Amino acid sequence: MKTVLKVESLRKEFGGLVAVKDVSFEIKEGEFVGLIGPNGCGKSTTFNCISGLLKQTSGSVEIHGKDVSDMRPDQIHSLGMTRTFQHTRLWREMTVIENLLVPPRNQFSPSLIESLFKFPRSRRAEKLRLKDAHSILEELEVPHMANNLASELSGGQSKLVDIGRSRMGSPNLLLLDEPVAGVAGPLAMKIFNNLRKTVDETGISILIIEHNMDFILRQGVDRIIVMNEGEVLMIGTPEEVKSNKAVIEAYLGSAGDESE
Amino acid sequence: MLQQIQQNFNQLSTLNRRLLLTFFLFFDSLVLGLTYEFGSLNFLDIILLDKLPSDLIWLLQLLESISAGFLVIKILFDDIPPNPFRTLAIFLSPLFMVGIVFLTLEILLQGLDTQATITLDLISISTGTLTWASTYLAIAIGLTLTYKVQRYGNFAQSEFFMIGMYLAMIMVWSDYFVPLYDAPKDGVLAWSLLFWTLIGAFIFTGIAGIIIDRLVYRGFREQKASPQVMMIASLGVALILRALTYLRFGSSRNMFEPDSDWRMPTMRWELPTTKFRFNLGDRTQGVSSAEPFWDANGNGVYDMGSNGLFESFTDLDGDNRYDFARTYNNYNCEQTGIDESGEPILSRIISEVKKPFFEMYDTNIDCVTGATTNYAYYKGIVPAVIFSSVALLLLLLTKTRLGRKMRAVADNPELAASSGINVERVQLTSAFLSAGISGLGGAIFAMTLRYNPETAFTLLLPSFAVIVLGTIGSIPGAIVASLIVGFVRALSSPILIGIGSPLERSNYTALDGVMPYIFLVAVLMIMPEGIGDAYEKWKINRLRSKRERTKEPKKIITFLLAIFPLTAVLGIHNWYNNRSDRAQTLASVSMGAYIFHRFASFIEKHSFNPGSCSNTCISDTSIETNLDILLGTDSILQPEDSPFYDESLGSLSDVDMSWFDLMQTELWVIEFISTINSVFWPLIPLLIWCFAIFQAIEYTSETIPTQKIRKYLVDLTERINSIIHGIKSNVQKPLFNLKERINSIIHGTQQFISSSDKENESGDEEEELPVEGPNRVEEVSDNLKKRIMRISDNLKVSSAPIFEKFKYGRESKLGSNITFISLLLILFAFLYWLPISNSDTMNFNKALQVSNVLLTLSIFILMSFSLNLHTGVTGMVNFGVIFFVAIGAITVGILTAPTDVHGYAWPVLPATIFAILLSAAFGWVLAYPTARLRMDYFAIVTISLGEILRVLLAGEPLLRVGSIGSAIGISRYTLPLKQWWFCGRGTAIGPGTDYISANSCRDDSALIGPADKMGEIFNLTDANGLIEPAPYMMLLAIMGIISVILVWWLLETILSSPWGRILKAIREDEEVAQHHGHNVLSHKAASLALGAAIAGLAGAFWAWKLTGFDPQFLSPARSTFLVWAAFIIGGKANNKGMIIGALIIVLMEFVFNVLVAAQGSPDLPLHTTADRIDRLFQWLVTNQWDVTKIFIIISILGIIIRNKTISDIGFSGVFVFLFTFFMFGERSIDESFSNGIVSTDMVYVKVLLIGCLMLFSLKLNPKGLIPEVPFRPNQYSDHMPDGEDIK
Repeated sequence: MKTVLKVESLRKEFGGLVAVKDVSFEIKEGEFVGLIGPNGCGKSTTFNCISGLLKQTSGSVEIHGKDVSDMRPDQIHSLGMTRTFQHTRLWREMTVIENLLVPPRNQFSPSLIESLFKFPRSRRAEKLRLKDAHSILEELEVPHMANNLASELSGGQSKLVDIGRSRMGSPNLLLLDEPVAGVAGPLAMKIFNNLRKTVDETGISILIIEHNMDFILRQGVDRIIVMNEGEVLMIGTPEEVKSNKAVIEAYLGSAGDESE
Repeated sequence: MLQQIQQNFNQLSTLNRRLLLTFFLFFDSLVLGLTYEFGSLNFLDIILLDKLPSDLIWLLQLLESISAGFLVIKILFDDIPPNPFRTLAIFLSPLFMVGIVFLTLEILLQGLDTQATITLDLISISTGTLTWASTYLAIAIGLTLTYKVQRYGNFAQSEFFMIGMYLAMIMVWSDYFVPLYDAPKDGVLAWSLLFWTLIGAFIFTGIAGIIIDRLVYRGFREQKASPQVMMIASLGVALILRALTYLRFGSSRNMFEPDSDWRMPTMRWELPTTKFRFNLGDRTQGVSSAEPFWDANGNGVYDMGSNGLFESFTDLDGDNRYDFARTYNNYNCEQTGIDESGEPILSRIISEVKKPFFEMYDTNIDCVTGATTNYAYYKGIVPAVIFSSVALLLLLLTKTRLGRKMRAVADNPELAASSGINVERVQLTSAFLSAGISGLGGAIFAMTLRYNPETAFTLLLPSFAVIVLGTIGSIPGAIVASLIVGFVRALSSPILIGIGSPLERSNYTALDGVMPYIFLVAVLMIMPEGIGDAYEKWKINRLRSKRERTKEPKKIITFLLAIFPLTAVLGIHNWYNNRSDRAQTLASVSMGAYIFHRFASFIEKHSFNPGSCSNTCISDTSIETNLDILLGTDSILQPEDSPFYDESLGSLSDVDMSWFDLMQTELWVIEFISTINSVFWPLIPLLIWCFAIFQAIEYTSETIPTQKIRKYLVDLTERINSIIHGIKSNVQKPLFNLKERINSIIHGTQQFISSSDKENESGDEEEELPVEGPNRVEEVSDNLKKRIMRISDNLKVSSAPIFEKFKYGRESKLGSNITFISLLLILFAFLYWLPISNSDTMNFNKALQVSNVLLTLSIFILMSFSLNLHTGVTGMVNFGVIFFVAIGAITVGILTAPTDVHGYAWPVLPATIFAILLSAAFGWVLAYPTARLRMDYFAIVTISLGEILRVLLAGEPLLRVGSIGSAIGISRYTLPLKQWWFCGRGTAIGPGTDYISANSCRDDSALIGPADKMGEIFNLTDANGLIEPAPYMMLLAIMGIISVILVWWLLETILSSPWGRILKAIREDEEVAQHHGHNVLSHKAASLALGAAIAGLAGAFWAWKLTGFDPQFLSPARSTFLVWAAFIIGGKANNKGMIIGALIIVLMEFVFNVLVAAQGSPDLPLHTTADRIDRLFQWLVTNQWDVTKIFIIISILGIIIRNKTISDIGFSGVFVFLFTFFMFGERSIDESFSNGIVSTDMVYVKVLLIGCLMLFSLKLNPKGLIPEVPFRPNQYSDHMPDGEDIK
């Protein structure tokens, strides 16, 4: 299997504060990986460094073997990486369907002029995009909201649309930052199942930050990366993580007791 | 090979890449370009067949070199890791920039074979810096407070400054202070008018701030409006305030002189100064070492060189001699002649044939320039007052609870509210303080120059530069930044004067006003985070390193520092002991006491303080003290001493009595100040010294005597508190009772009012009635709502599918179209109805009028389209629409003007295309440096660009063609198709044939062109009933309408494509858009370029409409702000809205033009309307008491129906008109209106209305008349046929 994402001794400092201390991990093609850790342990900062929002202090991030340290977020996206944000940030004064239509690649195919002036070919492409968007909305059980403004959605619905939007860019590496926080249990479960299915069917890789231990340990994640105070505590399968003393001490503590 | 070079270049680190670029720029501009004329720009010129003017080339090379200098500083900021050398380099960077400017000028002037002398007078630069810094600071502090607490950029801040200026004027005009103002010069300054004016300006401007906050901003706060909306609302407020000031005070220039003595030439400090002189360029010119030529009459004549700096005098032999530019390299003086009055001329003559590059001389040792620099008292008082009041404000904010509350509210209003802070009150306090301090600054600044209502606005942008440089929201940052910006302005003025005439750009001196803007743009590029941020970081680092330092301070040193008076008073021992907060307090108290002492001593000396003797008194031996001037021989102040006292009358007049009253107040004020002074100084420093010694004992001996004292103090404060508490409760009780009673009265009134309605019901009235008033209103509106609901329900039932389309109202496609068409029809009906004077040529006039409106309309629509693309769709707040418009207009004008007036005689079409492309290029380029700026920074940058261009148009000879005014501006350019319009295609024009001008074609009835045909179609008859050719304006209008339609179609098509979606995503959240794979920068650049191109086209039309323009047409109040009004009223992100908005604005403009004409002549249409407006205005100005009564009624009404808005309006009106009732006398009418006849200036009524429209639109209809229509496709289904369904 090929390595999709390779993070090597990544370090990020804010002034005197070291948020991420020499973190290294790899994600292979078709892997579904969870990233857990207590609050403020540097998970989101790691995400931000990978996606190009922040520039790391030292270390390297490679996507498909390409160093992305000096790249802009949109250039990193063009390598096949898409991410979501912890606080859902939809384009609020646009309709849900419009939100979904922005990310697809090759918006200007077959050519810029044709798509600007809507030649038949580009109109057909547009129709396909619209179809994709509707089917994703249907899958996420929010098709009735398609024509509403994003600002009219509830918190949970926004999360769903955000996941849908990130999938519209047809990524091969998806970074999800707490995608189901605030989503009702059964639906959240379904989303996880769908993600698993997508990974299995299409072979994309997903890195997911999740606080709900139940999901992360039981819903078919291949591996788990545990972070604590800016460092990687351990990397292993859910079973290994469950049985690791250090992890339980550092993080699971009470949560671990509950799940037992 | 090129590819490889590019690859290698890309592999370099940012630092190396930038260094290479800088080196290339320096080398290209300075060495290749300016020295050998073989830089890249010269190369470009060769490609363009030598068509570029050489002025343009070296100007651009100048710019290139200076930008390279800025790039060096940027590298320093961005790419060098922090270390002490970097810090030092940053501090030295201003010097480096000055050096780069001088070096570039030197090379340029050498290349041009000319020379310039730049004289820098250290003291006049310092005093200029202080004056300008304090002026900017007065506005910048207000801006900072608003930014801090209310979080928006207040474009009306300069209007508070303006209010302060005019309050000072009112104080002078008001009858209370007239005797002092008119008093003859006696050499002694009168202080009381100044004193009261400052207090009055602070309080009344503050109250104006509160009124505006209550009436305007509070509503937006309650709606949780975004900072962007608040900023635009403040623009509306600014328009309104300025229009009101223009209406009441006229546009004449006034000045605040509290006493005529303030401006006496003797009233100034003579400061010894050191001057630096830089001789740049060809230094051999103008040196008087050459032997004179002898002309035919035997007189000695020198070759004067081009600059002709010479003076003639008679030398010792009695011959005429010329002394050329005075250049000396040593300090030995020798007598070289005598001047016209017979005084010997001392010079330092050199034997060298070259002047030195740098000379330094001062008053003490220079034998030629015996001048000192003077600093007039009236200028010096500006920084003194402003800096001390800012210091007081800073103390208030950092050391009191109010400051803490304000910071809490600034941080998080909701949290602050929930922790028991009255947020509304804090907001009001901040509104009061921010307005008040600007007003105070305005009042004191009004002493320094003649001003009109526009003056304050020119200070707004530099003040924005100050707060940006000083980090938005940081007061210490703003203070430092104001000094830097003031320094830039003060320094640029001598440099510009020095280089002006050698470079044949004598009008460049006007550029010193925009230097702060240019500096602002540079600062935003280099360090958008500002000084305050750097200071905060430094403070944090210092705290951190202090914590790590464990060395104990030595006791003996502490003791010595505390015993020695100077260090003790400045609190240095505390600093040594790591108690810097205490040290700060001690130092600021003692320094404050000293500064106050100096002020007070100055005031004492130049006033009627007993025993003081000012300069006049010293020079006049007949009097001993200042007071003697007043007292006369009897040594008693009495009304007969008044300068207005006329002995021949033998009796006292009113003016004598009021003079007497004022003089007594004056003496009282002076005595008060002098008393405080004697208490403050030297008592306070002595006390501090005692305290320091006490502290020293505390530090050195382990026993702590302070604790006892502290305990005692605590006891004392408790006792005082209990007393205060007692008093409070005693006072509060009656107050509370009073409140209760008032409430019961109100209650009763309400009962009375509602019971008169329902007299029959008398049962359980008492419980219900208090809330009856509002209830009834609600009931009615409820009924109305229900009825509407029922109607719409009926509609729903009868035509369900149509209703589905209307689901989103005006935000659906159909609804939007219907609104658009109906509004358009209404407005066009109005246009058709617009009256015109009845005469034989009515048809012609009507055609001209309608064409004019349509052309103006097309221009405004195009500009609104451009603004809508930038701001409405892409979300970049562009306050500089006029910048792109001006580029279009200027380019078209210059390129098509004939060559004999320095034009280029291009045909119109290529010139227009070039102008559009150039605008687009400017838009594209603008995207890159401004990409990472915040929304409001972008607004400031764009508005600054417009202003820079406006001033450049006045000062830059390259931007002048034709014969407008004193050759400032552009005129005599070709108008498109004018020839064809009047002459038709039949006439042969060109080489070999006689040139037939369009005008002669029009007069020649034999030549039939399209104009004549149109004249026939529209039946345009002249006075004799003959058909006249249609006006040229009609052709322009047709062209304008066609281009509007084309551009509209283009924008609609493009914006509904995927690109439109991406732009909107960027507007909503550009970071997320970038994370979804869109290169935000290039999309923004494309959007800016497209919008700029449209604005450029609008500019071309504007140029053709004006047929000649001067810089004034670029003023934002006449263009940008109007377009913004159209944008707000019409509805953002909807081009149809832009059309409606522009139509409303243009029609308004037009109606008011008609009104202006109708004002004087009863024959013209709308005369009655104009007359009515005039009478209303007269009533408002002259019958303030009647107006006040009406507002009293309104406020009572507001209280009764418990409507906050109405009562607020009422109270504000009562306040304003009561104020005018007391303060505005006859004199104010005589001074503001010519001949004392009150008349309305309709132009400003229009501005007032536009401002109000903007505010109302923002408040009541925030999305505009025709809001954005979001993309809502029909639900997709597999059965849908391929077709138009999805759009």
